[in-house]
Amino acid sequence: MPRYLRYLAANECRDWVASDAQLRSATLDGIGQSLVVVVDYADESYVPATLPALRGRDRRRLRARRLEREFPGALLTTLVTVRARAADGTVDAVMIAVGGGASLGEMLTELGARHALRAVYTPALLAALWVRLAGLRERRVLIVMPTPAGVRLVFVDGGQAALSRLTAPLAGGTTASEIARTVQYLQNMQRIERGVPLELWFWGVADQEAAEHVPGGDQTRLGRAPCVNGLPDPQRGGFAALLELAARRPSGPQLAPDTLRAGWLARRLQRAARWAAAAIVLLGGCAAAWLGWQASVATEAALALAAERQAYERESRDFEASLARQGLTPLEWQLLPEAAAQLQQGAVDLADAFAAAADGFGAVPDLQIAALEVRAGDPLADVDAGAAGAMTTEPAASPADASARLEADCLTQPFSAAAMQIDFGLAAGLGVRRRDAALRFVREAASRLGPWQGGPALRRLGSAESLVVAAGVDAAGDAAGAASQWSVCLRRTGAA
Amino acid sequence: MMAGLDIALTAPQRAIVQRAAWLLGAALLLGGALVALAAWQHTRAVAARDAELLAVQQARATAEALRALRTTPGAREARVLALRRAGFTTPARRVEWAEGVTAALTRLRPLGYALEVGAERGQSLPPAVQAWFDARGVAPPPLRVTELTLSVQGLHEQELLDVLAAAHAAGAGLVRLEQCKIERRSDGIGLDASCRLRRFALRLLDDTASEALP
Repeated sequence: MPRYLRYLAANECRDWVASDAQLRSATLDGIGQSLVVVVDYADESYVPATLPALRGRDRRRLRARRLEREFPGALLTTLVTVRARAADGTVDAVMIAVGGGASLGEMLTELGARHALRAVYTPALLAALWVRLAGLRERRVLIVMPTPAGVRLVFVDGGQAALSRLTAPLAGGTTASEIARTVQYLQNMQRIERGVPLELWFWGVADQEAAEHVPGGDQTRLGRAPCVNGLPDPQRGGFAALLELAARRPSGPQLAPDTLRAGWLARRLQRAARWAAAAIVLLGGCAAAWLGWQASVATEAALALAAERQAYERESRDFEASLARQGLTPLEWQLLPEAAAQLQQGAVDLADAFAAAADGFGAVPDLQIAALEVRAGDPLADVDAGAAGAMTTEPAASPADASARLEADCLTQPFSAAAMQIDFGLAAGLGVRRRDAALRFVREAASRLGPWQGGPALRRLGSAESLVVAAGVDAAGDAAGAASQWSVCLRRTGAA
Repeated sequence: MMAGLDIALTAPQRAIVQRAAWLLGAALLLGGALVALAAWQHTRAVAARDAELLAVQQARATAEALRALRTTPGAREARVLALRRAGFTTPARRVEWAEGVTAALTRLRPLGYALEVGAERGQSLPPAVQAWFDARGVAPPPLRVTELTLSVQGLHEQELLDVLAAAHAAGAGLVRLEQCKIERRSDGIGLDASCRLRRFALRLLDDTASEALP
């Protein structure tokens, strides 16, 4: 989009357009053109001020308030910071305003409504912009530059326009005296030191002619603006170079309030919105692409898993089919043998119990088994706690008491191992020696009962009891009967 | 932004701002829609993968379990078929069971006898079998138990063993002796015995467990 430039002076209005590499005259027509305005009026005001160093919204508010107080009702104002004083937390600033009358305000308002008015500059602001872009911010220089309105004297300090005066066109003696007056004013205002010559740059004036306008004395000295790559050369091009700079690289302080720049701000908003939209779509697209890639990876993994699953299922189906041909179901195949084995755990074989009883108790005629009771282990019991510890073999005070106690200990607890209780006694009328031999046989046989095991008490059977020898019919009968009945508990070890 | 600056916009400027807002809104919608669509597809794909992973783990476990059981196929088939033929998966035939035991007793002629076959009832599975179903998330089949109590007087040891063997055979399933008390008779004529037997059956055919297996 072409950038237009309008130069406005008290009695002059010219338009240019920046296209390709040059600035050429053009007519500003249509609407919505990007536009920079340069106003070159005599009544520019420059008021130095010292402000507290603030930032952000407070800084903006302070500046707006100071400008409004200094130039009430002025349309074109700005405030530039010349330098900061870190020691006392203040800044040296210059408040700038351009009058131009009501007609200038109306003209700019109309331009702002029709076009994208980007900035309003003065020649002094453009000269300071050039100095800043050239990297000469520390130079103090008085620029003498002919413009269509006259000769502009611009004092640039700290890269900012600190003073600007519009004088009559170049004329022998007149321009030099104006320069001398300006330098005198700056010295009086203590903006420059006395005795230090102020550098003069004549822009757009031949060197020979410039030398003629240098005031006498040692208050000034003639200098030259350096030639900077990438910037127009105002030393040779004069004001036209600054116009080109304004058209091509408008930046820095300018005079137009945001109300005049609404068109340009709207366009900037539109451009920002385009970039933001592009960024959003791009980011969204990237995120969607990444998610899509992740989804495709997941899908591929799912397909691979599905193939693996189908292979397993095919294997299972084939096996199930082979089972079905034999009239079996997979559940039966997987479960029945193990379930049956689980349910058979703790089972007891009565023949096995008879054999153990015969080996341990029936082999000696002096021993007589009165009763035998077996109980299978409970296949539903999960814990076999204390199975061995509960084995009990005790001489009974009476068979009934022993039976009651052993019933509780041996056969009623829900152990997973099978248990067997044997009630036995000794034949009547045995002597001490035969009686001891019979009990010793039982003790020794306790270790030969195969899967059936008795506890430690069984292995001490008879040895922990008193040896009683009685004479007389009543005494002997009672003693023998009381000491001749036992109940022993055996538990089956290992799987049934 | 313009409203915040309190700037009066002309109609073309307002149109520019509106177009910018529309553009930004459309971009947000488009970007959001793209991301949402992709996220939805991603979520679905990940869910499908996770489900497939779970399914393949189950299928692998089933296949490996079957494969492990197939290491000795002949013996296992024979064992399974024997259990089925024995009636481990069928309901108890209480009449046949009682008749079988009675026939044996009649043949042996004890001094007296009494037997009772109880009603079939449910029973919890052994812990290890229950754990097998729990691990697969499958409802276990009911374990049915039928109890036979027998009281017989005046038999010798071998005769008693024969009666119990007949009870095992007539039970037609997994029958085990739970408890048996044998006492020597005071008159010296054989033994008196009180025994309790239980028959177990896994009712696989009339439940949904087999259907639920993968």
